[in-house]
Amino acid sequence: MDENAIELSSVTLDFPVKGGAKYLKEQITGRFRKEKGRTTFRALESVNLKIPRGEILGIVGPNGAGKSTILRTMAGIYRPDHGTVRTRGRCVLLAGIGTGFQSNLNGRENIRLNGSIMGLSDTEITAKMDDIIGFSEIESHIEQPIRTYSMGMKARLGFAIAAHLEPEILLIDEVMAVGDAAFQKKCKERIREMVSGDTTVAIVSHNMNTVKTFCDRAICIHEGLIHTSGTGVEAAIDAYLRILSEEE
Amino acid sequence: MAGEPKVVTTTGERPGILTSPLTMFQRVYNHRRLVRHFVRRDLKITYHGTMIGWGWTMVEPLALTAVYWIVFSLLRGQDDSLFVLEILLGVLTYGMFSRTFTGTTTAIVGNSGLIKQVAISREVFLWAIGGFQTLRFLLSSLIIPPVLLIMGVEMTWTILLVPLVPLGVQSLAMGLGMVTSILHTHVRDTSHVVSILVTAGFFLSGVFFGMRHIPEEHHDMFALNPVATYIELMRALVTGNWEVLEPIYVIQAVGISVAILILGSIVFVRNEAKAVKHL
Repeated sequence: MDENAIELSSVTLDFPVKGGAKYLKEQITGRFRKEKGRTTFRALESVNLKIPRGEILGIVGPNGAGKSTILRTMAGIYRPDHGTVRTRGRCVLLAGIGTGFQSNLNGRENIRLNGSIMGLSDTEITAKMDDIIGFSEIESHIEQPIRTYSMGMKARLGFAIAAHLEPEILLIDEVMAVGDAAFQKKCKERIREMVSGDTTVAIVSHNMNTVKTFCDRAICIHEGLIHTSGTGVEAAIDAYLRILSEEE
Repeated sequence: MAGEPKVVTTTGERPGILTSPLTMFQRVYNHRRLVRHFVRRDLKITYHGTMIGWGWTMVEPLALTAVYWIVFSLLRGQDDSLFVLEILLGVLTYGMFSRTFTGTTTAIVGNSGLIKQVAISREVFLWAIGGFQTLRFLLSSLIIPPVLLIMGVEMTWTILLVPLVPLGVQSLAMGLGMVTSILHTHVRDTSHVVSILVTAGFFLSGVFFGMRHIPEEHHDMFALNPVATYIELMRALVTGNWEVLEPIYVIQAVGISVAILILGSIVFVRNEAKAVKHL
């Protein structure tokens, strides 16, 4: 029986250089200049990766290495130019907590909308509503429009929704630092609960303690290539620190 | 017992030309609940905090009609009692078309924050705009019966067919919007060009004049513009006057609209993954 929750086979992903020519003038002048024939940037190059079900994988690497891109490719946000991505089970990406909130809708309406965007059914949202509100600790403001919330309250509500999604695959992109110290502790406990079961997790982080604490295994990615594999997290952290020192 | 986990395989292969329209409709059907949520959201936030709320869907076209009627009756010395009604029906129909076309054009770029964070079908954003504008049109249309009563125009049973008009108008607007939304991710000037086209279209689609006002030998050419035909269709359905609107014009408009919707869905489905990289 195939037990891999995520499989990336020879995945290559290119992006337009500098997001491409967005204005007509750039399109026309860019065509004549040719930019040394380089119109794309290779974000991932022939990446092969298998994440068994239940494993917690850390992804480390310097800025611009392709960490968030690989996570978004796993989530299905970016389609590879070459290769195959296969996921088994409901996949949720925790990134940019609270994305999609509408300032004129109240907290409850935003839970409904955001939960729906994240793939929950109406029944699931109704069943989880009280738990989400309770977890976010903003019960007294829940009927107020979200434009009246502080940044911390929005982040708490966003995390509370994400924390109740119960996915089979959880992809986390640097979202451990939400709210004050007490709420951060609560978030970490919740993530620990989420990852303790059968859930497969991939965590992108610059915080090596987070990787050491949570992960069974880690990979280091640099310039779209995986630089380490094998078991444990130390080899990836060493490779990451080596790359950082070489770049200095 | 929980079912087997859903396996999703993503490759770089684009959907085929022939299967693209089916792929789009399948995706929208699978995400119909989310489309409904977005429509509800737009309805809430568009009229949020206003004194008359949804009442604006009726007041707005009435006010616009009054402005156009004053301007054009002064310019042309128009003394036709049906002229106000014709303008109102033109404003309602063209308003739905223009708002859907311009809204869908910017739908992908406008939702880039969400698109880069959540793996949802991007078609959803376009269909939500289409759904919201259709609903807005239907709410606005509620003013038609009272206006007919006030004007002393006899109501015919064909007025009941008015809710079918959006099918044709929105097929055309969304088909065009599917193409321009992809273009907009590559070239941000697209939204400005669409804005100019929509303004030009307003003057070319017979919002403040009817087919009966132009010489008969030009009717065939005029009817090549499907929006103009839909506006005429609205007028015929409401007034029961079918003298100038040939059935072939309606068939032609529906044919063009469906063809553009299919073409738009092919362009969208085959290019949306690449377009997302430009956000």
